Parts: sequence; C-alpha cells; structure tokens
Amino acid sequence: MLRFWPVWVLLLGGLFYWGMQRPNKDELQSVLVGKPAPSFSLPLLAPYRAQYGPEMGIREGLGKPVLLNIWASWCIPCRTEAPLLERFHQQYKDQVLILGVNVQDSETEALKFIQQYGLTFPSVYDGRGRIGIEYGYYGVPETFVIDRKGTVLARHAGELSEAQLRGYIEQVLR
Amino acid sequence: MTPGLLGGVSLVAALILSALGLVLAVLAYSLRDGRYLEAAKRLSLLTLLAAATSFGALEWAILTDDFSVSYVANHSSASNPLWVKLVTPWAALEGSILLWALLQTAYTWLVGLRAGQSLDVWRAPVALGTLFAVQVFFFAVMVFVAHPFDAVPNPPPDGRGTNPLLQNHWMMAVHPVLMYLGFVGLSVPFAYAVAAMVARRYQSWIFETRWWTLVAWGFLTAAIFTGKWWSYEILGWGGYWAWDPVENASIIPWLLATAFLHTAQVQERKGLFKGWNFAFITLAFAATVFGTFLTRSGVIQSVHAFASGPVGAWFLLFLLGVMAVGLGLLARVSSEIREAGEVRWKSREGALLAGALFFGTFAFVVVLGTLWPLVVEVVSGAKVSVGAPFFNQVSVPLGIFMLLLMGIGPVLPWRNTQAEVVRNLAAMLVALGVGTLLGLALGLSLGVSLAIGLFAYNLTAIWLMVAQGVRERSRSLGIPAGQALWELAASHKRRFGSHIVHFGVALAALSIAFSQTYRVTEQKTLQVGETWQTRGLEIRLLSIGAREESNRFAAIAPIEVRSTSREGWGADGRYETRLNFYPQMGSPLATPVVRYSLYNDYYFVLMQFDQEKGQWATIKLIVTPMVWWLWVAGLIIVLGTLYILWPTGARVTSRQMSPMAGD
Repeated sequence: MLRFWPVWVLLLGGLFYWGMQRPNKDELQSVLVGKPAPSFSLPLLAPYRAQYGPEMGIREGLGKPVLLNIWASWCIPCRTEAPLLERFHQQYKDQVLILGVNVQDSETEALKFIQQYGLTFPSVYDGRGRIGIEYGYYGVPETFVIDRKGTVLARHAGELSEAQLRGYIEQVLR
Repeated sequence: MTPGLLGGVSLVAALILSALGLVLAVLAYSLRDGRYLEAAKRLSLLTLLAAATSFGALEWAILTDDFSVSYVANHSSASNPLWVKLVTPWAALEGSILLWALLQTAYTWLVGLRAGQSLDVWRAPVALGTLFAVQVFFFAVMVFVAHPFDAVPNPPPDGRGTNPLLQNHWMMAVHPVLMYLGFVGLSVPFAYAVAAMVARRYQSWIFETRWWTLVAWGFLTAAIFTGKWWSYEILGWGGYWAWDPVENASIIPWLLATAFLHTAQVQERKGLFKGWNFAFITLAFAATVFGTFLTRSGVIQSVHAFASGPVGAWFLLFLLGVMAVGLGLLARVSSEIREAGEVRWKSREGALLAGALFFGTFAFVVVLGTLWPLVVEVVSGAKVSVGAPFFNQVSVPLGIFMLLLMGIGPVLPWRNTQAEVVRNLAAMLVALGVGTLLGLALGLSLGVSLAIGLFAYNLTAIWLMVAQGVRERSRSLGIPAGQALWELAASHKRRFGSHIVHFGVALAALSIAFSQTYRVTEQKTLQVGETWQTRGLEIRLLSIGAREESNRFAAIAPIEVRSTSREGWGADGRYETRLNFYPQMGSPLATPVVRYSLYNDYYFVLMQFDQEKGQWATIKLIVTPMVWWLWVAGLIIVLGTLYILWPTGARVTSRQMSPMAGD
C-alpha cells in the first residue's frame, strides 16, 4: 500500500483538480434539456381561476415560450425571486408565460405568499410535488426554460439573478 | 505610512525572512554547522515580528475604517461595533490566511526555542526547515494571490460589511482562532515527524511530539465544541452538528490526532507502532490542509465555504506536497521501522492500537462521505449528496465500540491480563448492563439506554482505577485516602488528566444520545396577546417591535413563557426572539433565544412576522434534552487536557528521566 504512495497522491490530486476545473460547480444538468417538456395539467390557485380557468399546465401547441418556476412559500430564496419574476411578467406577459408551480406546500401558506408579493403571474398548486416525478426537480426554487415548440432549453437550480432571468428570456424569444 | 503600505511591506518581509530561514535550515542540516541553526532560530523571531506587524496593520486599517485597503472595503464597515471590527481579520479569506501565517510563525519561533536542547541538533534543522517551508507557502499565497492589502484606487465612503453570520454571535471571536491554533499546531508534530524520518531517529521524537500534539488537540477540541455551540445558538435549527463538509474537515484531523495520542503511548513505552505514528501525524496535518482546501476551492458545496478563488489550486499543491513528503519519507524508512515485538491484543497496547484503528477508520469514513459526491460526479456525472443520515449511521456503531474500548483500555495492564483485571472488567460489564436496563425500564429508546449503560461503564472503569491507586497508596504509606488521592493526582498528571478527558467524552456521548433522540420541534403562528400551550409550556406573544442598531435592523417579538407542568421545568421567563436584517444579506437572520436548564433546553426562534400591521408572529419552539451537558463535557475535556499539559517540577524531571535510549 505504502509503496504506491505516489499513485494515491496523484489520484487524490487528479480528483480535486477535476473538481476545481468543472465549469459550473453548482450546475445541475437535467436529462430533459433538448427534449420535449413533459405535459401536465394542475389546478390553478384560487386568485388566477377567473382569468385562466380551473387548470393550467404544459401541453402541446401552447404556442408561447414558458418559464416554469417551481417554488414554495417556505423557501427563502423564492422570496427574493418572486418580486423579480413578477417584474418580468409585467414586462413580457404577452410574449412569455411565466408559470409558477407551488410544490410541497399548504394551499393557505401559498396564498399568503402570493398576496404578500402581489404575484399576478399564474401559479398551479401541486401540494405533494408530483411534478417532480417527471421533471425531477432537485429543490426549490428551480426554473425550467421551455421554448415555443415545447422543448426544454435549460434548467436552472436555485435562485435566478436578474441577469440570468433576462438571459433566459432573451434565449426563448430568439 | 499607511496601514496598507505597512501591511504589504511586512508581508513581503515575512516571505523573504521565511525563505531565508528555509535556506539557513537546509545549510545547517547539510553542512552540520550549528551557526546556521542559531541564525535560523533568530530569524524565526524576526519572521514572527514581521507577521505580527502585518496583522497589526490589518487591525489598524479596520479600526480606522481605511477603505483604501481592499480587505477593509470588502469585509468591514464603519458602522460595525468595536468587537466586530476586532474580529474582522478572520472573517474572510485573506485575513484568515494572515492569521494562520501569524500563528504559524509563533509556533515556529517556539520550536526554535527548543532547537539544540530537547530537539537535538540532527533533527532541529529539519524540523525548523519544514516549518519555514510551510510559512513560505502561506506568505507566498498572500503576496501573490490573496493579498489582504490590495489598494482600492477610489476608496468607497463605507465598506461592504462583515459576514452577518459572524457578527451575530460573540463566539465568532473565539472559535476561528481556536480552530487555527489547533490546525496550525499540528504542523509542529508534522515537522518533528519529518525531522525524525530524515534524521533516521525514530524514537526520540515521540516524547515531545506527543506534547505538541496534545496542545494542538486541546485547541482543536475547544474549537470543535465552540463551533458546535455557535451553530446551536445561531443557525436556528436546534442542532449543533450537521456533517457539513467543513465540520467534517475539523473532525478528520481531530480523529487522526486522537489516534496518534493513543498509539504514541505504546511507542513511548515499548517502541512499537513507529510506522503508525508517522502515518497518523502526516495524515493529521494533511487533513488540516485538506480542510482548508475544501473551504477555499469550491470543490465541494458547503455552507461554510469562502468565496472560491485562485487560492484553491495553491492549497491543492500544498496538500499534495505535504502528503508526498510525509508518505514518501515513510515509504523510504518503512523497512527500518519494522516492529521489533509483537502486539498482544489482550493488553493495554492492544486496546490502544484497536482504539487508534477505530479513530483511523472513523476518519477514513468521514473522508469518504465528504468526497463521495465528487467521486460519483467524476465516474458518472451525477450529482449526489451524502448527508447526515449516512454519517449518523456509521458513527453510532463506531462510537459504541470506541466507548467500550475507552473503558477497557486503561484498565488493562501493559502486560498480560491478570485475575484482578478480569474482576474489574466484570464490574464494568455489570455497570453497562444495569445502566442499559435502567434506561429501558424508564422507557427510553435502546440507543439512549445503551448510552446510559456505556456512561455507567466508563464511570465504573475510572472509579476502579482511581480507587485502586488510592487504596494501595494510602495503605502502603499509612496516609488518609484524601491525601493519597491528592498526591496521586499531582504526581500522575497524565493518567489523571486522561481520566478527566475520558469522563468528558463519556458525558458528551450521553448528551449527544439524549439530544439527538429526543429533540422536538413545534411551530405556531400567534396573534399578539395569544397564548400557546404545548410541552408543558404556556407561551404568550407580547408584542412585535422593531429596533434600529448600528450595523443592522432588528424585528423583535418578545414572548413570555410559563411552565405549567414538570415537562416545562425551568423555562419560565421573558424572552426577546428576534430577526436581524443586515444590509448585505437578502434574507433576515434569526437569532434564537436559548434557555438552558440542567435537563431541557428551550429554544425559541422568530420565524416570520406580520410586516405590515405587526399583529402576528410565527414562533418555533425546539425542546432538546441535555444539550447543556455537551458544553460542560467540552469544558471538562479541555480542562483535562490543560491538566496534563500544566507544567510542574514533577513533569520536567520525569521528562529528563524519560528513556531517550531508544534510538
């Protein structure tokens, strides 16, 4: 064992070197990227039913790019992300659909959150986080960027910064 | 002269002096000339002064709000209270490396004082050279990649402020310094080991190294406990240990140093385990560098991670260098340090080796769990995380075995087992059984009952050993038992100190078992004036207010707590739960209020509050039994270590008389 010490040292060094060279250490690649977004339909939360109907989701022929944002009221980064999403929704609502999916949450808490941040983009309710089965989200917040044809362009784990969000929107509008 | 200039110049001076010291040490070794050694010793003091000047300049810049220094502009603020400013040097990357380097120069200087005396002239140049080389690394990192004194061309009117997590509790003034004292302290045993292997003197190093290791170990222990306490009081989740990569980084060197402290005794006495001792020390020091590398390279995600920068690659090279030197030397001398005798497992040496192997295994498991996500990502590209469940599962059985060995080891004699020992072991096993059954009879879980049993078992072991010694002494000298105990404790400091430390460890294990098993968490949203009855407590939300403080804004929700039954005993009082808002942080930081009692800790956290009308607040209550004893245990362990280290006339003579003829 000891005779081979240079091998151990080099192995460890190689592992760490590789670990440091990764381009984006926080990035989570999704197998969905480049594939059609799984379709679903979930009940909308109460404030949005008047405008959008009882249910909403991803289905074929939506004809509009979608930013699918998975959130929960208990998630702290979601609190900084919510006002940002709302601002972009106001700006781009005719071109891009920002669709929230409230997961692993109680409906009352979710409504409180929506009220607190005055969110006007629609959110569906998925109390048990079933959407995770097909989308495989890792945590909240997480955002899937879906183009006009329904193909997943990107998956973003964690809070979106303003620049990142702008980048994604420009990407789907291209 | 500005603080930035003074600091920068003294940093470069320290780098040059360290490099010179290294050259002098190499000359002293290769030319066998004592004059070079003498010069290197003097140089170590100059380096210490240069490093201290540099550190002082950083403090000066911070205290005078000199935002033309990049470190101050990035990590301090004029509005910080004085104590925060004083601890700001180790609140971020560059400053913490400076503190590390300063402590390193201090240790090198202390080692220099021993050179030519207890550290003989063959080993002294190598030991000093190793330490100077370590210093060269740290100062070079600062001078070339992480310069604390970089100038800011257009100084801002105010700095960005200090990391709020560090401002939130006074413990941050203490914990990092202790951690660095422990980490840096392990460089000295490493230097001694390198010296022993280079000079091919495999026995004499062990006496003094054990002492140095114990110093570093004591600091590390204190650091780990204060870190736990900090996390308990600040992070607001009610626990004190999360198996975060950086927590692991502190426990790995601790485990390896602990292993060494045990096997070193066998080498001291019987000349065995030389290879193990070199390996444990090398790996313990490498583990400190590994921990530093983990936190500063961004290789593994962690809550503690410093912003990852260019220093990662430097620390990686340093880590590999340390391992290459240590393991390479060990491979070279391994044929010369073959064991002379055989290990008798049913004796003290067997128990000590078994204990050390457990510590080593534990360290290996922690390393594996910490690195596993990276390994998986290399092999399959998948992201996985190894969390507390894995570590908890493996540490419970390992912990049980270690507690068992901790009792047996000191009871076993160095020679073969005798009848009296068998009697003692029987008594301990009875204590183990009775304690466990008592726990089960009280309706406690099996794990906790076993922890009670193991506590009783270890207590019995200590009692038997102390009582036996006292009995023999008081009988043979005809003195009262109290006097015999006093004299024994004074003359056998190592043995009594280790009893104290072992008692502390047993108590810590008991506290961990209780607190991890019986923690309860509850949460409720209360209207102002509303009362919440739970867990034998009556909690009333009194009001919701706000307070502007110099460095933060605080939302405060005072509550009044009354105990209504025995379950809530000791919780009465009025508490100010609060959320602190720092300008440099997006989300508020909760400061839990902890009410300690001899049994239950009551932990109140303000989770949320009505920001518009101030009418409701969500309060989290965490009740955890016996946490208080964990802090007591930490204190006992540190005091026990101090007791062993405390210099007395007796210790000095015993060292002078200790056999040096093993070489």
